[in-house]
Amino acid sequence: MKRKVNISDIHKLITKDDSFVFSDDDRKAILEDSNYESINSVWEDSLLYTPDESFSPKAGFDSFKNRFDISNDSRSTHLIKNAGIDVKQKPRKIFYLRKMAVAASIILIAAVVSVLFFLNTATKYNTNDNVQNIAMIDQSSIVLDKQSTLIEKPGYGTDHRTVVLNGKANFDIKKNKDLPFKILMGSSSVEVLGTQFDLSNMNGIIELALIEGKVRFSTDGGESYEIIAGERLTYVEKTLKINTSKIDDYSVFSWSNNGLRYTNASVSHVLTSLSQYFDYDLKWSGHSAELCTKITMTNIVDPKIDELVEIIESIVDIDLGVDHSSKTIEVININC
Amino acid sequence: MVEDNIILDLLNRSDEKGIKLIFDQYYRYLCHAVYKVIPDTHIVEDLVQEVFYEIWKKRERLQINISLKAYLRRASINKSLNYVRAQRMKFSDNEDIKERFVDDDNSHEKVELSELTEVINQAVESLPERCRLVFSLSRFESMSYKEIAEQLDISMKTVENQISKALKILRKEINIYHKS
Repeated sequence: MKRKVNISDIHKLITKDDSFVFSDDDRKAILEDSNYESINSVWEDSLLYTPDESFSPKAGFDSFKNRFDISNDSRSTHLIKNAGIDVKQKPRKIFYLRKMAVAASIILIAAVVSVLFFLNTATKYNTNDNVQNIAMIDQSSIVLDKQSTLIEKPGYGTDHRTVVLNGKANFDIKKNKDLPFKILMGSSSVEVLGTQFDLSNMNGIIELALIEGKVRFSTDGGESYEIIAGERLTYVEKTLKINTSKIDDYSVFSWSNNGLRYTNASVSHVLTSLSQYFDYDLKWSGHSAELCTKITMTNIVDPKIDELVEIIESIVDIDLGVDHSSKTIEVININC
Repeated sequence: MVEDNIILDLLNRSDEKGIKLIFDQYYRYLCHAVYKVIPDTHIVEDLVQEVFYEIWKKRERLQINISLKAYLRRASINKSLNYVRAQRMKFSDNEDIKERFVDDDNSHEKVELSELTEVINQAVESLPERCRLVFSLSRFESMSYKEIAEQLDISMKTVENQISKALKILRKEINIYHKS
């Protein structure tokens, strides 16, 4: 008899609440339950909740000082008391010395911080012709595409989770609400709310395609966009133009499987990305592929160029030639 | 953004600037976190300020092994749960869902949110009080059923019921948005 699944069972499984242990059969029943997808989606969406109330730090601090008398308790008062000077007088010299002492301390701290910063230098990953898997200290994993650079700033995983990307990468980020994962790219950044996505920052054009979850994309100009699964964002740094769209024609490099994945992608998109992936030139002239069937291929592990070309030729009425010596893919004919 | 060690050093030296920096950097963040548990702006501000005052009182012997932000969040949430317990808040399980779109007068002050975020905000804020509290502790503080039950002195079964109720209400509201 099939197990009865409650909404809270789904919730317990999603949140991995270790107060509850599910057998394999129970787990299967929950995952197959008709409510699972919608509850999972509601759970993910609810993370977007952001109270509208604006709390002013300045007003808060003023109120704090009215409520709690901290001035009588501070170092300046101690110094004045110790010096035997009436608080109402202006203790210029001591105030000056105090300011100097504070300034000296701050300079000293800044110097120590700077030294520590340089001693604790950033970790830089720089790929040439290979894709690199990077296991981060916080259990996030990043797969860095060829010809890309990722810089992990000092203090990553303890003080912050900020990286700098130049090139293309796939991110699978471990959730941590206290330390949001942030990717800096020129004049923009992406703040991750727990998700999996592809991101590229090449020649001043940033492309973000979301596979799961949500991310927040922000520019230095103060624009901010929340992108959810199934959406794509393109940002051109030079013109500051941002475009968002549903992903209905896209390819995603499924890096973690060392493979490729295409969903409803156009022939031109597939061939262009394949040529980039294998580092082959694409020769294509005089043939339109606009009317061709869209291509969907998933879980292609350890892809081989010849096999992929055969698969494409079996899906679309197209003749392709591959020349390994000159590293070229040629579109010979299209009959769509 | 001033580094934690600089703020802590200022506090250790009883410099008021330390507490001012904490306000500048973390006040809004902490108020939002506490507001998710207790949706009353005055109480929220009072509680967060009390946390800051406690920090100030023990400034000279303050030792924090995690990030200051994480420490302050944990302290603020604990403070708010103490408040909930001290008030012995009475909730009605049959409380009606609050009217939607109640307060639109201050729309000019609101942060620009995406449509979905706005729907989620209204849906979460429409939840009955206890339902919202239990849901928030699970969603935003990652607390288990057991922890929520212990903190609020309620049964695990009640936690289960309130979570289910919250998810059903939210699903209904979000579905209306998707269909419209």
